[in-house]
Amino acid sequence: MKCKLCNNKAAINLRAYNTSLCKAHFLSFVEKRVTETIRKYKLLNKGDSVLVAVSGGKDSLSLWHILTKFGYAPEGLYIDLGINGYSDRSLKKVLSFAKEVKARLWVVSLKEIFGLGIKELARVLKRPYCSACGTFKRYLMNRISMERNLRVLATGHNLDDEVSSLLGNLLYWKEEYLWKKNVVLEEYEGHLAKKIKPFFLISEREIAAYAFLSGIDYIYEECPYSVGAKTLLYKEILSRIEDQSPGTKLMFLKGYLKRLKAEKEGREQGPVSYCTICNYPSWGQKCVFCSLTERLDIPYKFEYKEYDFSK
Amino acid sequence: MISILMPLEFDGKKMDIEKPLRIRQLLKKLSLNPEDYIVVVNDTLVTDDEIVKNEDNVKIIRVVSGG
Repeated sequence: MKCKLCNNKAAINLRAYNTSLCKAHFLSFVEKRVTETIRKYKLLNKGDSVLVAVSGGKDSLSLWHILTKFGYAPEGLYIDLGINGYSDRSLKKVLSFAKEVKARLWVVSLKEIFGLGIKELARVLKRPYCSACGTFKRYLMNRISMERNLRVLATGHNLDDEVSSLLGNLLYWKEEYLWKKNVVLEEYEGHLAKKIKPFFLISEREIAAYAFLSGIDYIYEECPYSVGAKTLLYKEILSRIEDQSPGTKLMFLKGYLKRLKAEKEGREQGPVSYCTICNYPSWGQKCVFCSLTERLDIPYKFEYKEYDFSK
Repeated sequence: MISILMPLEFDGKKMDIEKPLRIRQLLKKLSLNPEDYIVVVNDTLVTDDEIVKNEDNVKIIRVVSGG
């Protein structure tokens, strides 16, 4: 197969775009699409201070790589979930990447704060692992972003993450979540950082190829607790549809974004009160994080480490 | 004999092939959806029409993540 742009040997075929591209043209194709997403959805402005949430996987490290290449000088945040072996291996990848891009990295560890890893925390709280993990991660990402005055929080959520989540919300008609997905969630009255997803329209396959071709050393293995997660089932089903009908995932998500614009008008925006313990925006007196940590009944001190490789 | 490395599913599987075959046939043989994988042959990322033959090192990388 030849590159549609230069006739050299293609490195990847992109059936959703009816094209195939060589290494150089594919890398610029991805970077151009990310640039377009940043511009179209007003994700970033020159001089914005950015925190990238990194797990050591292909998406977050590729995002860190691209934003660094674009000149935003992002800092990284790694949340150590205390998963035996897996967390150590992923932190190792993140540390070595941070050194490579000469950036500052913040590391927050659940075990160091609570004395328990995510598995134990979820058990004590009687919550499914992924649900507890999501709550802790969202809270910690926002808190560190605000504390470090890095007002834009970037995550590596990709097209496949978004369509699988959209499908899940539709299948169960979770209207309370359905219209919350977006490429950008604006800063909220100085309490919530602006959250951006520059890979919103880039597929996992494209990001994996981008990471490989850019020489990014990421962790292949997945979180051991994701086995059997519904998201993976939805992804599998959507991939089968994509294989038979290329471009479906992109159309699904673009159609959602189009409807989101109309749907958002006249809808209630954001929470109306703040948590009485941590001042995080919440729907009730306490935010979900503080309600959960109260139930844990473990005195904790909120601390995190800094690794500065920028000097 | 081609060497197949799939970092997530299994490591270092060897597979004997009678005659050279295309990546898309190889994936089909292994019951893998091409949308979920990228394939690297002898350290080069390749498209699914690439032909692999005995002695090639094939790395099949699963791209699906998350829970």
